[in-house]
Amino acid sequence: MTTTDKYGSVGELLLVQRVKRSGDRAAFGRLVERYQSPLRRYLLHLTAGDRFRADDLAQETFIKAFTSIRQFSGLGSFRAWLFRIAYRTFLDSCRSLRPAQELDKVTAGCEMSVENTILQNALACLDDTERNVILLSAVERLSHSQIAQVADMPIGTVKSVVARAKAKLRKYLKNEEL
Amino acid sequence: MKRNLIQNDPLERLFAAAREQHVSDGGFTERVVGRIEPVPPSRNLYRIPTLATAFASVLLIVWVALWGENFIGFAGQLADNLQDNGVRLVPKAWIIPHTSTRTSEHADN
Repeated sequence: MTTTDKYGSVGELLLVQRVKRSGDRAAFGRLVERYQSPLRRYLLHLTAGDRFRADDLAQETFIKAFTSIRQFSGLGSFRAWLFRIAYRTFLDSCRSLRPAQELDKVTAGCEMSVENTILQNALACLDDTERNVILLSAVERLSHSQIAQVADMPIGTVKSVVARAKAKLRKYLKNEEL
Repeated sequence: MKRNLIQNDPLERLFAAAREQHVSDGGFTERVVGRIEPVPPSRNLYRIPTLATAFASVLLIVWVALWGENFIGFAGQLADNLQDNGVRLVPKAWIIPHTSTRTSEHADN
């Protein structure tokens, strides 16, 4: 059983309520414990394997989530809400990056398996939106409606971006004979 | 069928490998929790009616204590006024006559 499976959605909602009501740091710690792995993995792929930057962004994401948790209505998915903050934090950091630190060229602090390195190289052939949507869909297993919420786009667009990104990745793998 | 798809499709294989990748905590949670600052407790708006009722009750008690409004006397006065107008709020006598007495009276007649 992974850490993610330990709490049900009801337990998660209770933790969120505790944080919302009294700013319970211990409850928030449990939420961080639960989501740190998928969130850091997602940011690691978005930052082209830059572990240090991914960790900084993940930390910033959680701090933002804590300070604005009262804005979370509780009706949608907490996971999707968290990924939305992460994506926005990533976009903000991209705006402040110098051209020399562009995503596709970063490899510092990277310790990935062979498959993940191949996937990372393949993801480089996608634009930012395609990379984000395919990661949320195929790796993080978010539903199309949740991705629409994270990426701020209609569900129809999400579906077409997923299909286009998969086609591009398949073409890349075919060309590389993988 | 899904397993076959993952085994045969190299892209799905890469996605499956990425999903299995678990990033170990390594003190990350502790660092985050250490950096967050406590936020003030939320202003629960549902408390407003309760507080308003409590405040009104206290005001009423203070008013009665200070000005000594006699509510029982006030109620009696109101009842007298109504009675003068022909409205009876309470019966004049609470005693119901015994059935046996009434029966004997009927018999005498």
